[in-house]
Parts: sequence; C-alpha cells; structure tokens
Amino acid sequence: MRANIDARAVAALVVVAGANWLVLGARAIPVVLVLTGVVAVEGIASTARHAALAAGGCVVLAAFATIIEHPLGGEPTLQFATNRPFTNAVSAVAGGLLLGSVVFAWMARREDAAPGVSP
Amino acid sequence: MTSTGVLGRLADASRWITAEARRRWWPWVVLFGLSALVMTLTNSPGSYVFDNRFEQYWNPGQRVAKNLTTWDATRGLGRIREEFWPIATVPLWLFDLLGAPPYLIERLWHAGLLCSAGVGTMALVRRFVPESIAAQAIAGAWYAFGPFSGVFLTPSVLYMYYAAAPWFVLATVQTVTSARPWRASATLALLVFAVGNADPPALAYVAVPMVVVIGYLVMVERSVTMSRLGGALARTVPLVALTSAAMVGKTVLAAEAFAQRLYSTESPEVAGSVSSWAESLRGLGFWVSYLRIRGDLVRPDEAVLASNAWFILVSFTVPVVAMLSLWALQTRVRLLFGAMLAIGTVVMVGPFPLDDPSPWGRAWLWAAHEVPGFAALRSTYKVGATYSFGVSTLFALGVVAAATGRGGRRTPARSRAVGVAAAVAIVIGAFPFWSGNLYDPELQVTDGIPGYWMDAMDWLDDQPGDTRVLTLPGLTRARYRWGSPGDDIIDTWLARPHVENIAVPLTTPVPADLLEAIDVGAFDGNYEQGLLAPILRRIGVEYVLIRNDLMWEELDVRRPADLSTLRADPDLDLVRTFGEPGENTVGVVSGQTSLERRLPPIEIYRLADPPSSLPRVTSAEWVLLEGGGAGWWRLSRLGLLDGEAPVVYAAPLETDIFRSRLERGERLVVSDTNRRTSQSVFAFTAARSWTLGPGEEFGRGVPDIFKRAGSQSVAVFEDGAQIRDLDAERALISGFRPHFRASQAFDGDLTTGWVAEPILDLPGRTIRVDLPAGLNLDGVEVTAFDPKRPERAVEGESFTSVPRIGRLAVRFSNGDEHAINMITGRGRIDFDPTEVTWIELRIEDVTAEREVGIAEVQLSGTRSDLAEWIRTPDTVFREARDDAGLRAALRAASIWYSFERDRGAADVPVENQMRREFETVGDRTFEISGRLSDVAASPSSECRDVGLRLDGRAVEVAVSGPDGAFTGCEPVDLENGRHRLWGTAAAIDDVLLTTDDREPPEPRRATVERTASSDSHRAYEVSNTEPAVLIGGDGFDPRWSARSEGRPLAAPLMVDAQAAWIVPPGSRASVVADFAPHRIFRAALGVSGVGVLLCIAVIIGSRRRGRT
Repeated sequence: MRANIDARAVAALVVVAGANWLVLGARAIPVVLVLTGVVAVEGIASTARHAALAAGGCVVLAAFATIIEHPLGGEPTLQFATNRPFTNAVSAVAGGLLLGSVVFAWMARREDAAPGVSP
Repeated sequence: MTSTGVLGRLADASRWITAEARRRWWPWVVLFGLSALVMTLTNSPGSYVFDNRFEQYWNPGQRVAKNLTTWDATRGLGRIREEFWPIATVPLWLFDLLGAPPYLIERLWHAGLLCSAGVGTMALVRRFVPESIAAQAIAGAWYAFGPFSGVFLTPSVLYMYYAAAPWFVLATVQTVTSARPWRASATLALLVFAVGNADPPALAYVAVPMVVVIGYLVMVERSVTMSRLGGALARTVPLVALTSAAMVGKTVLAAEAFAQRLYSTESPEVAGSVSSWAESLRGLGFWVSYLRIRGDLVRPDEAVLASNAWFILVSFTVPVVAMLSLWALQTRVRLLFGAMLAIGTVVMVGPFPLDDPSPWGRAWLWAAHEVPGFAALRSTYKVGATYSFGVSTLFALGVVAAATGRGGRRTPARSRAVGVAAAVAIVIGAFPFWSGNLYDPELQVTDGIPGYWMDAMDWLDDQPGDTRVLTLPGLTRARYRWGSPGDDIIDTWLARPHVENIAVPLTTPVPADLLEAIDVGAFDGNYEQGLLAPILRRIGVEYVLIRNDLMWEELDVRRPADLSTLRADPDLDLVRTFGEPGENTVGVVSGQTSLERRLPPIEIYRLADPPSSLPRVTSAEWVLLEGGGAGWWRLSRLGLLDGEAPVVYAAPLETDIFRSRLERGERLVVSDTNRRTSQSVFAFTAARSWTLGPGEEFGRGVPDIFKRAGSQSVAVFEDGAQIRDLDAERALISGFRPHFRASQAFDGDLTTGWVAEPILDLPGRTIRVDLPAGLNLDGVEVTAFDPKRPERAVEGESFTSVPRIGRLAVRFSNGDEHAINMITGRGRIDFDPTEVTWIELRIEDVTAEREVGIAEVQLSGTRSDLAEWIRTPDTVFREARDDAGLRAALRAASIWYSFERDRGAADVPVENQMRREFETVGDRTFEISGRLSDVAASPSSECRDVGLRLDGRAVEVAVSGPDGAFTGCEPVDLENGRHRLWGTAAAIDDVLLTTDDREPPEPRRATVERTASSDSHRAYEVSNTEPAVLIGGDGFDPRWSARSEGRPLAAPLMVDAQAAWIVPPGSRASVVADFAPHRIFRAALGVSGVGVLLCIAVIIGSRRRGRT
C-alpha cells in the first residue's frame, strides 16, 4: 500500500488539525488521528467523502443518544445539553469530521469531476 | 360540461401551473404564502400573540411615525428613540389602514416572512442548482418550515433577518456575476435600508453567508475575478452607505440605549448554555427554549422539540442526509453548502460547553467580555441562516440524488418512495407549524383589550395640561388577568407623557434610576405617607395610575394590596376608577385579600398639589446629593424636597461649580444610595444584584449612571478581601437574590446565609474568598443554612430533615485541600497553622437537588473581620484630596450623611445589620439621629445603647417618638478621614449625621412658560431677578443645548434628573433648547431618502435597458 501523503495532503491535514483544535480543543485529537490515517491510505479527496459519511454516522448516534440520555425526565431545562456526555462526544466528533470533510474537499476541489464546471 | 371535460381542464391547468412554476416565481410565492398563512392563522386562531412590540400591531401608524423621530418625550422623562424599522412597520401600517385587526396583521406579517424565507432560498438554490426544481423546493421548504423557523419565528423582528438572508446572499451573488451589476448593488442597498436597525448584530450575522458565497465564487467556482469583486464593492459600498445612513445614524446616536439593553439581558454564558453540537446540528440550542422560571418552561410550546422521540429523530435525520450528500455527491456546489453548514454550526455552538470550552469558545467568551461591543454578538443562534442554507440545500440535493439513483437511473417507484420520505421528514420537522405549537399559549391576548383600559387612557389624554402620569407597578413585560400582551400596552395609546419603571428603560439612565427608586419605594412595606408626592412634583407627575389587574403572582411584582398605605396617602386624591370592583383583580391564588376583591382594575390618583407644568425655574439654594435615585426618598423624608430647592447630583458636577455652591452654604447630602449593582432582565421584571465591590464586574458590564469613579456605593471588606460566588453569573437565570449572597456566610450572623439554587448542578458551586493581606489559619468551621427557616442554625435545630450540603471541599492557595462532612448541618476541620491568600469552598454533594446554603464560615486562627461594609460615594472627597480650595469648602460646608438599612423586598432582609464606611474632611462635629424599628422603639428620654457604633465606640441615644425616631444624647466628633458606622442590632433602620440644620432663605420669585414644544425643540419665556436654574422638563441628556436671547448657554446641568441651564437674571428672556442629534438624524434620513430613490431609479433603469 502506497501512502498518499504529499505536500497538499500535509497542508490539508495541518488546516484540518488547526480547525479541529480550534473548535474542539483536546477532543479533536482522535478525529485528527483518524483523518490522518485515512488520508495516508486514501488521499484527501476520498478522505473528504469518508469524513462526511462518518460525520453522518456520528449524528445518527447523537440522535439516539439524545433520546436515551434523558436524565431529566422528559422536558428540557438549561442543563438539557450539559448532562449528555455521549451525545456531546459523538456530536462534537461529527462536527470535527464535518469540518475535516469540507476542508479536504476544498483542498481537493481540482480533482472533482463535476460536469460542466471547469476546474 | 361533462366530467371528462372538467378533468381535462384541470389537467390543462395543472400542466400550465407546472410549466409556470419552472419559469416563474408566482406559483411558488402563492404556494409558500398560502401555506404560511394557513399555518400561522390556524395556530392560536384569532389571538394576538406576544411578538416584539405591542405597538407594532396595535398602533402601527404611531410606530411608523416614531421611526422618524429622535427625542421621544412621551415615555419616561424622554429618550432618543433608537428604532428604525422600515420593513417591520410600514407594511403593518398599510394592513392597519386596510382595516385588518391586530392579530391578522401579525399573522400576515409572519406569513410574509416565512414566504420570503422559502422563496428566497429557492431563488438562491436555483442560482447554484438550476437544473433541479425539486431540490430548490425542498431546500426552501426546510429553510422556511424546519425546526429553526419553528423556534425562532418570534420575536419576528429577529426572524426578519433570517427571512431576508436568502435575498441578501442572492443579491451579493448578483453583484459579482450579473450582467446588470448596478441593479444587484442597488437591490442589496435597499435590503439594508429595509431591515433597518431592529437588531444590528443579526445584520452582522447575515454577512457570514455573504462572505462564504463570495469565497466560493472566487476560489472554487472561479467565476469571479478579484477585479470584478473590487468593482462590485466599489458599486455596492457607496449605495449601502447612502441607504443605511438613517439606520446607522440612529444606531450611533442611540448607542447608549443599545448598550443599556445589552448589559441587562442575557450574558454570553447564558446564551451559550445549551448550544451543544447536537442541538445546533438540528437547528436548535436557543437557550430560551429550555429556560424555566420557577420550574415552568418559559416556552412550553417548544418542550416537544426536546422530548418527543420522533421529532428528535427527524430533526437529526435531515443533517444526516446533508452529510451523506457531502459523501455521495460530486457536484462542487456541495462545497459551498458544506462550508455554510460547518461554519454556521461552529458559530452556533459558540462557547458550549461552558465548563470546558474549546479554544474558539474561550476566545469568544474573552472577546465578549473584553472587546467593546462584541458582546452584542453573544446570541450565536442568529447565524442560523448560514447553517440553514447548508443543511437545507444539502438535504435537498441528497433527496434528489436518492430519487435519481446512481447513474441517473430514475424509476417512478423509487422517486415516489424518496419523495414521500422527504415529505414526511419535512412535515414532521414542521411539527410546530401544524400542531398548534407555533406560539406560546401563555403569552396571548384572545378577547382584545378591556374597554376600561381604553377609557382610562382616553380620560387621561383629555385632562388639561402636559403633566405626566406615573404607572404603578412598572413592568418590562405585562401579563394581565385578561390576557398577556407581553409588551406593555400603555405606550401604544397614551399620548400624554407617562413614566414607569421599566427594566429596559425608555428614558436616559439618570431618570431611569430615579423611576426605579420611585417604584421600589412606593411598594416598600414601610412606605411613609407624604414622601412620594414631593418627588413626583419634581418630575412633573400629576397623575398616578395603579393597575390592579396584573397577574402579579406570575410577574414577580408586588400585589395590589401592598399599595394600601399609598392609596391612603393624603397627598393623593382618587379621582377616577375604571372597570368594576373585582373585575380582573382576583386570581386563583391563595391569600387573595378582601381588599383586592373590591378593587377596580384601574385607579387614577391625582396629586393634591400638582405641578403646574413640566418646566420650572428657581433661584432657590441647591441640594447637592452624593448618591442616586433612591437618595430622593431620604431627601423627601428630611423635608428637603418641600420647597423649591433643586436636587443636583454631586457626581457629574464640575468641581468649580460644586465648590462655589458649597461656599454659598448650600447643603451636601451624602447617602449610601446609587449602589454598584448588576442587573438582569430575563422574564417580566428586572432583578438587581447585591452591592458589588469596586471594579467587580460580575461577568457583565455594570451600569454606572454617572460614569465617574467613586460615584457609587460599593461593598468593601477588611484589607481588600473579596468574597465571590464563582458561579453566580451562570446561576442567575431566575434573577438575583441579594439576601442570599455569598458574603452573608462570613458576616458572623447565623440567621443569614449564602444559598445556592439548583439552576445549575449544585455539586461544583463554589465560593471564593481572596485575602490579599494573607491570613494564618488553623481551622475552618462551617454551619449549614436553611433558607426556609433562617433561625434554624442559631437556635441549634437539627438539619437532618432539610436539604443540605453533604460534603464540602475546602481548597487553599497553598494547594492543600480538605473535605468537611456537613451531613449533620455542621462540620469542622483543623490543621497545622498555615498562611493562605485565598480559600475556595466547593459543594461536593448535596442531600437533595434543592436549595442548600451556608450560614457561617468561621476561619479560626485569624482575627480578620470578613463582614461586608457599604462604602458611600466619595467623588467629592476624592477630588478634595488634590484640591485645597475644595477641601477648605468641605471643612466648612453644611453636610448631612444619610444611611438606611436595606430591608429588601423579600421576607429576609438584604442587610440584617447596617454597616457603613464614609469619609469626612476636617475635624467636624455632628448631631446624630435616626430611627429604630420593632420593640426597641419604645419611647424614653433615657440615654441608652441601642447597638449603634461609630468607629467602634457606642453611641448612646434617646428614643423620642413612637415611630422609633431617636436622637444622639451628645454630638459626636469625627476626625478627618474614613469612619465606620455599625448598627449591631437589626432594629437600627436609618441614621442621619448632620453638621447643622440651617434653613435655606426663601428664593426670589421666578417664572417660566413653555411657549413652543416639538419633537426635539423647546422654547421658554423666563422671568427671574437673580441667576436661576431653568429645569426644562426633559430627562437629562448632555446633547441638549440651549440659547438665551440668542446667546448660547453653558452645557446642561443634571438638575432634578433633567436637563437644566443656569439663566442670567432678566425681566423676560426667550430661551430655546434643542436636541442636537435631531439635526444629524434628519440629515441622515435625507441621505437615506436620496439613496433609496437612487437605488429605485437604478433598478427601474436597469430593467428598461434589459427590455430594450
């Protein structure tokens, strides 16, 4: 297996890592590590798509977690969002992956084969 | 006609409409407009629901007119009107002219906004996905009727920016891509004009998708070059500058009013308390949706959004499909909408989670607190348009792609299945719209405004003169027993000037402070008859309107029965009542008094000796007041308002003027008023914090009406110590409770305490004590507090049956940490002597998620006093330190010191004992007097110790009357410097120190007549034989200026809380006063008018050229 890390991929990873750190802090570490691994194997264009798919998966988890993690007995309170550790964890990962997906897709925009639009 | 013929015609019509829908917009406008109208009309049918300002729907013509004014003298003592809302007022006024009732005007407006949101999004998506009508329609539907719209539709003046955002973005695109770029620039400029300044931060947030789309066009689509972008900016910026001149002008001129609103409403922390990734990704996270006041949801209609599993799943399904679109689609436009989704969500999340924010969230909070004006952006949900463009369009693209299948293998069955699934998702997402949950069921007016209210306002307007009406009680949002208009209704119809204590004041800060003090004092359980009228006369109030039909039990205002003493005040004559006795005055509440059952809903009292008119002129000696509005009650009690003496605040007065007035023998009254407090407005009324320390910010701006160091009474502790509840800012959702502040746990009094409410999780709540001088400790003892029974600790009763702290962690500055077991209600730790500079006490666990408290924390091994002292304002004393002339004047001046214990509005007093710190200049001798309450007030000429201490020495007094009045048995000598007065007994209510009791001379007669008055112009004829002060009748604003006989007068003084000028003697002089910003606004309005006409001409010209 050949690593797909080139200068553009490194630049994209740096931007993604920076953006993820900015919006997630230390919670970004696993997201960035996974994305780095995927980039190494697949390249940034594919990683953009995989990251979006994974983000969608995390949001699915967040949906069910929101229903299951319901410690307050139904109706909302201002602690509604704070008392949901799993929901918050997976949805934050979704946010990081979404950011990563958009950045990678932007960096790989010249590889896209969108019909009718010149690169 | 046969049935076949009818079906054929219907089929033809259907084909025609379908064809029209592919080429034209009108079918979509009709579809979205009718859908929106049906949904808004079928929610709370026939009822007006609370939305923005009541006046906007019930008297829209007046609202339009007020857009064009600057100084509005009818509300409060006057203030600049900050609003400029063209599109949110003019169409409503037109509906009103056509005879539409208020509720219908409201629904037409709401439907118009929803239609604008939906069709606008379709138009925007068409620019990027022209080939798919289905994608455009689905995106428009989710943008307009998705969860975000369901939650944010009201207040609609904020939603207006969301509804206009697609058009802003589309116009932006056209400025750089259209063949008729001037037309696009003109359209954008007209949009900026139309939305006005209803919410400037929301306009800033609308710029986010505009920047994103430009970035896409330049960097991804590459259809726009930098030179083209530069050209677009060169065309658009000047046009926007022209059309927005009026809006910008008003916003800048009324900046203080905007700032006042900013610091008194939600903090960035509150706004970010629920905006998690999960909630933001489904378009929710608006903190008010989750807010409870006294256990009840503020928006009960939105509970379903967080509690219904089906709704939760669907609300997450749409972002999931959006992300799958990013995965599956190849089209580059996914980058644009993916970026919008990502950026929008990041901004919406903001500082969440507050206990561990991301670097972005941390920077956001830092900027909100440190960068001037940035806090205006605290409500991050306002970026929702960016998020919604992303999620709606990606969802729509995903649905269309799914219907089409890979390789474009579209089959009818597949298309139908996907279409049905998408429709079901949209319908469930639009749950609030069709389920009757769109509007708050508790904030509605169903049966109109009672006739007695209209009669009362007509009657007041019919009375002669231009004096004011005071409304009691003051409110920010009104809930009456007949309905809940939300906003106050009096502004809407009463043309006569009227004053009221409103948490977001409709008057300038100094008069607003006075109005708040009047409201608080009128409802004080210890109200003394005869004190209110002298205050009201000074501000031109002739009538007092008491409303007894409020749902006071819901509003946190005092009940009608609490005004009984005021009603019997001989200075007030009941001149009219409106409504029948008991009509809307009795609720389903326990303890409704028989008095309230007999009260009419509206009572109007008239002052027995009313003011003749608003302006007055006097040459009487001034009363110089160190303090704020609450100080007026002291002046009234001391008889200083009985004559003509104008009240002049010392803090804003120039030193030279102040010194000369002292040298003339005029009296300085130093009071413990104008407390440094924070304010919060979350529900219907405002709440004031406890007195803060100097420089203490409490996580938000602290109002400072004089903006001068030393002008406020502040809380101080020995050796510069500070005691803070570290979570108080986040926990103040339901308002402040100054009687349960943190310093109450260090005052040596077991009947007072710090209480934590379970607004936040109780474990983790922390009190911190900073001890700059350091303390040597060898033990800490803590006693629990029962807020339901404050005497429990002092009487040694068991705590086992009450909620309490189970374990408390004590951390020291040296890193040591100890745990105190509080399960019995008392706990102690001992340790080796250690020097510390701070201590933190953190709740580790509680026996129940209910209110818990600490009565006392005793730090052993130290003799430091950690009790709170209130230091009186000292602007003049600070000035005197460097001004020998002022020092000399103060040494000889007539000075009174007036102190009063804050008994608060709750059952538990804010101050159980009076502790004051004040300053004197030179060695002075004072007579001392005051008042006791309770049993200590038995009259006796015998000198005795009632617990009054001055600089640690007991002051013996004789109680001279049944009202508890006392006088000192001997004068007290005080040396130059600071002094401390302490009422060790709770019975000492107020204390007065006086250097003399000289009666001021009778002033020479002076007269004034207001000969002309318009929006921002006044003309007076003044006659006075010696220099006099002309008090114009308008609340103080430094931008008022005056000329006498054509010669400019000095800058206005703050006299009786109004703008005033010293006028030279003369038998008859013409004085004119003008509010300077009016000219600026008129000029800006003219510029905007030219801009609007120019833009319209550009658009029409462009269209004609396009046709030819």
